[in-house]
Amino acid sequence: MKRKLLKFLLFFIFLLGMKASAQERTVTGVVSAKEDGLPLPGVSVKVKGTNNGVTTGANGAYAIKVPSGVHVLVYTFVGYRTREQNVNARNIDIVLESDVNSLDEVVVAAGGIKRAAREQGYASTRVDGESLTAGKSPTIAGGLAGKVAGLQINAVGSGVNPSYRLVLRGNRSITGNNQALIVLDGAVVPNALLGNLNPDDVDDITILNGASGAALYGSDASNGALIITTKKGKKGTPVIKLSNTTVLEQVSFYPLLQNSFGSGSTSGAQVYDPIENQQYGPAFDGTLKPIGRVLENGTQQYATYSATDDKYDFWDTGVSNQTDFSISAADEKSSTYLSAQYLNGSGTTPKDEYTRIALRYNGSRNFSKNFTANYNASYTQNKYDITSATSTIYNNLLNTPGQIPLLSYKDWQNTSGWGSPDNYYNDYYENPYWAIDNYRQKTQNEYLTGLLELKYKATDWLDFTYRAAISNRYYKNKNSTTGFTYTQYTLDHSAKTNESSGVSDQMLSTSNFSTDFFANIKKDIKDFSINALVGTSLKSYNYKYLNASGSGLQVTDLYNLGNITGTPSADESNYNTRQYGVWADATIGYKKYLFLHLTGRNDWVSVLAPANRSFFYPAADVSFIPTDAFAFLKNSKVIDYMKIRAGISKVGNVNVGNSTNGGAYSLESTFDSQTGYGYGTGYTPNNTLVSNNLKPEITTGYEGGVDFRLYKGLVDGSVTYYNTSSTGQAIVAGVPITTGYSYYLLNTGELTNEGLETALHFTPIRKGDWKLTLGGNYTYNNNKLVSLSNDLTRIGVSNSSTIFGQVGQIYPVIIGSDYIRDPEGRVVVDQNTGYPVGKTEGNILGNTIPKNRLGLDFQLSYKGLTFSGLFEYRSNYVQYSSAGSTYDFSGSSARSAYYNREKFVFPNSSYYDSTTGTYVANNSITVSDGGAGFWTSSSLYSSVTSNYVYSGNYWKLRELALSYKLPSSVLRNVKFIKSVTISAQGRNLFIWMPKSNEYADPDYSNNGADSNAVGITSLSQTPPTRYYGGTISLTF
Amino acid sequence: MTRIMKRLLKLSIILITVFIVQSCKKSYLDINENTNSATSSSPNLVLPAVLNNTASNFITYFNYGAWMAGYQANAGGYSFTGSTFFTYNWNSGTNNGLFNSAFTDLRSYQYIITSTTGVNKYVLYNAVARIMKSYYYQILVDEYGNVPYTEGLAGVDNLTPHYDDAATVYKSLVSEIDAAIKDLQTYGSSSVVNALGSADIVFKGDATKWIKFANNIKLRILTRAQAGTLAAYTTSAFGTFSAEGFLTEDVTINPGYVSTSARQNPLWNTYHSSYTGSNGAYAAQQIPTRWIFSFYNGSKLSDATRGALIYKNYVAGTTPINQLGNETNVSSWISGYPAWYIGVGTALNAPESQGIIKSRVMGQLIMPAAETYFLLAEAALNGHTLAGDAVTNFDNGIKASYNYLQKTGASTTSATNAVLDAYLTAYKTANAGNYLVNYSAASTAAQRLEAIITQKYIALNFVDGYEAWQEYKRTGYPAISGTGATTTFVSLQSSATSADKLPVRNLYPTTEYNLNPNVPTGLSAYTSKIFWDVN
Repeated sequence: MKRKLLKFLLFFIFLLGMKASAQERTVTGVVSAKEDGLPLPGVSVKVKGTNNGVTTGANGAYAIKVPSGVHVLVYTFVGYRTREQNVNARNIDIVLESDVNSLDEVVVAAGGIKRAAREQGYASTRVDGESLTAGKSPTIAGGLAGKVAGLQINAVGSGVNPSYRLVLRGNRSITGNNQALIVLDGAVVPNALLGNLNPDDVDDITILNGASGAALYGSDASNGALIITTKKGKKGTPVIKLSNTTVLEQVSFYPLLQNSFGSGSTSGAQVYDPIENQQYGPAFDGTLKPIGRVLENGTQQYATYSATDDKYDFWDTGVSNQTDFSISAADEKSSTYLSAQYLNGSGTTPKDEYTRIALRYNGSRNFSKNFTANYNASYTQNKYDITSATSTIYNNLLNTPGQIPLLSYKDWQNTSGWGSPDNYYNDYYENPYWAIDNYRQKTQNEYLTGLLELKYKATDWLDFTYRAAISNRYYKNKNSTTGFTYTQYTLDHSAKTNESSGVSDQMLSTSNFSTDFFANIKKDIKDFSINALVGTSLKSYNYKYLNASGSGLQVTDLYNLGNITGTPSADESNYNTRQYGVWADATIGYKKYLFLHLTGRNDWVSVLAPANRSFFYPAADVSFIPTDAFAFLKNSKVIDYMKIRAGISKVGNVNVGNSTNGGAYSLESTFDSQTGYGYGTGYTPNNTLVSNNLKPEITTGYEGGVDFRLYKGLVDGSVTYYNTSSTGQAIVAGVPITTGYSYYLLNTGELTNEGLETALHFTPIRKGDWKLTLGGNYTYNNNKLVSLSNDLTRIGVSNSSTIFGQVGQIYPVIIGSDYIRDPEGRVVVDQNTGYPVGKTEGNILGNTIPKNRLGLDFQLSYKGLTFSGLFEYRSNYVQYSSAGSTYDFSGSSARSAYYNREKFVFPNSSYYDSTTGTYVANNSITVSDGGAGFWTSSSLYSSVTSNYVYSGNYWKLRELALSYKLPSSVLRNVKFIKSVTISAQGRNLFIWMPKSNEYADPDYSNNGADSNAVGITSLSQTPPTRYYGGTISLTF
Repeated sequence: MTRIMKRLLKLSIILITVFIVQSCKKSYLDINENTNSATSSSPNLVLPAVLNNTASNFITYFNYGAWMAGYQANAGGYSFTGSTFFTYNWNSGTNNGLFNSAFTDLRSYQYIITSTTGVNKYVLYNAVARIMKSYYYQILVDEYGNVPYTEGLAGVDNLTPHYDDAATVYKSLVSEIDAAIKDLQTYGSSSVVNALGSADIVFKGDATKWIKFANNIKLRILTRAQAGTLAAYTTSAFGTFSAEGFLTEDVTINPGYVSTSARQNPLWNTYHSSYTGSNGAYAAQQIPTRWIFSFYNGSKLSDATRGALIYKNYVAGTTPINQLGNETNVSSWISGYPAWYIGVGTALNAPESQGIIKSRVMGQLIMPAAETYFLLAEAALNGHTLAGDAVTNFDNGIKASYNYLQKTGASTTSATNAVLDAYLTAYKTANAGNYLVNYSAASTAAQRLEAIITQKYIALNFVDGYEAWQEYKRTGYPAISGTGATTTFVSLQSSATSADKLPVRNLYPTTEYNLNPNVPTGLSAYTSKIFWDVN
């Protein structure tokens, strides 16, 4: 298949070269739609100023005779912006843009009902399929990053398929879920699907930033919602699309390391040590030095004492290949869309592999004029074959001194080679290549979704919709450890100890089922319009997990629980939650320029006690269009339109559990079981107390804003201000152990958020074949933890000992130790040793969520050529590297060599002069040891949290894409191909960070996508990477 | 077509009706019964589990005590740089396990007490839980002084418990033990209450042994408190022991350890190897001190028999030893052999043996018979007539120590009297004239006390360092001096400012300072002594 594609490509390029330049009287070309690139049949093409015209055929092609002297053709089509084009070639392909951003754009609102944008009194952003896939991100989340005001997307790790955390308008819940709700074709689905749906299947995504618009989706909607609509077959001839994308992944930022010093660990001196992992030895001098121990056979490895690049070259270039196929068709009665995707790739960690298969079927059928059905099903399977010991490997790597020929240890199987664990130079840190093969993880996920929607139109003004949806996940995972038995000689002559083998097997399945039924009433009475919905919905969630593990494999390499020595350990967990709701939604419009929208919903949930089970939440918003209301504005040459909106809402969110248990079984304290002893099974009370009166968290908020478009679409933008307050936080608070318990789950506390979401785009060039659009979005968010419980001022987020909620501060903050400082903020050092005199605990070291976020994008197009890009900037926040102390302990950090391992004056320090009783600036007292004695000392340096807190600010070049759509004239001889697009694109190409960040991508979060304890990076996140590649897309 | 449509319409109406009917039923939401964990339990299920945890947590105190009392030092090949066991540079973040482990187990004991108070059928469970609660509170008081007692362990009912005066707590423990003994006396053999039965993984349901063990703990408490502010109180309390007397056997907890799963004896598991054969956490990192060897190798005392029963390669003279805090030229462990395991065979091939680390499935020793004998000897020395005179108890203590070491594996069979006597005679002969072994050679009360405490210290070697450490704090024995490897067990890197360069207490954990406004402040690890620490 690939070879064929290549042949086609060469053929087209050849044709391009042959392109004629002589003027002709007949102009031909193809008209296609911008949002999906598909040909548009029925477009009117006219010679300007005449009635001379044709319409495009089923394949979007036209041929028009143009009299000489005529310079302009006019293309018009309903729902699209009319375009005029100079006749400057014999072949003119035209792309028509739908009339987006106009107030009558159809947006998806509550219940999956389509509404006109003018009716919406709250902020929403629409991202179309084309924009989503411009950078060819393999996931939807990756494709959205930086594109939407108010939406913060973090890839929380590196690797073959990172998880994403999506938060709208900051954190509302201290310990509960803050991630945006995902609605797929009208049904609420788990967040995990966002990384496992094929982005090419997406027609568009509407982001409802706040609770106002989203309230009807149920209590989770307090976090805002992403409403995803997948593609449907369109009327016309069947369209087949085929594309292939190849992407390379490379390390884009390497932690700052020193390349000057080799093995040694002695304090106060630089002494070479052949078996040492720490890099506090003498400076590299290019001589030949022994490394490791003398082996049993008497041999000794030697290496040139100078820095190699092996630590950098250890990481691979990942390669992934993705093939997409889709076919769609529709007639008067039915539509069909079928798609398939296959992706396989390798990561930057050696031997990490990932594959994904995704299939989708979307269909619809009109059974009669009044009765229609929509149905779709999708299946995604992904497989990981990766190492389970990423952080161990990274740690081993950092503990490999520069002179060690690391890359030569790849072949660890050879028992006489230097890479063999028996012969490996280091006693304490394993050969990373051995670790990669020793610790493996094989995971398979299957996601199955299905949806059926029936619509019955009873009368002109009344219709009914019934919808049922499932979304299931099946997960299998096997972790294996091969283990190693050292020779007796090794055991006797080194600190190496045997590694045991083991296996663990996990299975998990989750099932989400939902049904909705609602009636929609639409009626216009004179100047008033009424659009009302009344509905009920029901959700149920099931979770089952089984895990069994054992150690000590009898037969090597047989990773089966039947092959272990001893007794396997096993555990299971099950969760089941249910919820139903009754809701109503009414929009009353006056003369199409003033709309009042009211909603109310009552939920009943299974996870709360009967007395607290039911809760009601209302919302209201207003939309006003002055440009339609006032005649002087209607005819303005400056303002195309303007919408002013305001909304207020209250939403209850049950946050007593987490995303795994859905809050089930949180109302009662439990007992921990103890099994397997001779006496039988016993129980001890668990360490967590539970309030007997848990309730939902209540978020009340208001927002207001303006959407506008000026100068006939040359400028458009929007501004929104929001303010929310969330009270009755469900918190697992720490309690003193002297109560007998450690934690207490109760409702208490308040968290507020306010911020600004803005977007502005200009089109400075829109002339002839050229078009340039520039703009961006800016988000400001500030929050505050107003209160916790009466006697609590601080809480570890998800029991983190670094990330806290602190009353009166932004949430969350890093709290940790800092040096003792004088009143001027200088570090106080000892007058004799030059060392800091001590540290203080409990200092607030900064907030971990950016206050400012800016996304800047541009798109330049000329004929079939499009060049687009996206930058993102985040600022005003800090991060903490829990790996930082490892860098310093190992002596691989660049900072440990800033002073060339010589005695230095501690920067910005002072000492206490007891005779004058003042702090005197220290310019001369140096630390007693500038080497191992200082940097590895936990009290002097490596356990002082503030040493590893750094600015999280960055600029990123998120996306850059260049695509070329071949002119139709080139394809004239290849009838069966309608269009060909070739593109090159890159993602996360560059990252610019302040000097203080020596460690990692600030988007990373060690605690995973579901944890609110963001702000920590660790060795589990391998160095940040960039992706770049090329795509060929064919439409048949 | 219309027919199909009508049918579908009917179907959807049925579906909707079903859904609405379902949702209106209250039971649809009543699915919040926990299917993963028990939400209620009963004393007979909690008691064995918490006793088992007590045995596991014993290792926390064991390891701390082994460092503090000079039984173990750092081994070669491991970095202990900055370890607070070297520097005694303690703060609120140090040794928190001592505090937290106790309260974790106390939660379960308090659960039994609270849920059985006034429930007659569980009166025996209630009594045992109160004895064990007292056992733990003494551990806490000895290291921390004031602790929440009257308001502690109350869960939601008191989230910021008040701290009680340490001496008052001590007195409360004695009355709690007395009350528990009374219940055991009344109902121990009653058929109207639930028997302890197999839930009692200490004494297999023998209520009389519980009474005697309770007397042991009371004796331990009174012995500790006799010289401080409670002197008068203890003098009279010494006369209140119940008639059942004292338990002069090795008290072990054995939940039925299993050698083929992660349910091995905790001492074996931490100091020897896991059930898969990988090294225990402390197996290779810790070796005996040069100091403790002086009590066996003739430097202070000669005791080759017990030396060889405790230490690997003792006879060959190749046991790795070190002085605490010394980090140069330190011997590594004998690969595969923890210093306190004397069997032949490593990892999974290690068979049962005599000595300290005997077996994967041996019961966990929590109070050796020797300790009871030495407590009785000291009581006799101080004129309290409890059971036998001082010299008999002293000699019995030495014999009991030997007896424990000579037991093989999980066996609880004692050696014959002839064997024990022969050992004692040989020991006395080898140390002829030395009052530390020959009690009758001691000429002053101080020497007699020194002999008793020193022999207790030897008997507790790698058996219960925590108790040895508390007794050192109370009496100053075994005597230390200077900085020599055999004259003191204090770390070479001590930063303690006290006269003997040792701390006198631990500080309350940070979590307590963060969450409980009632926690005492202004304490020093070097000067804020426990009330009974008067020397």
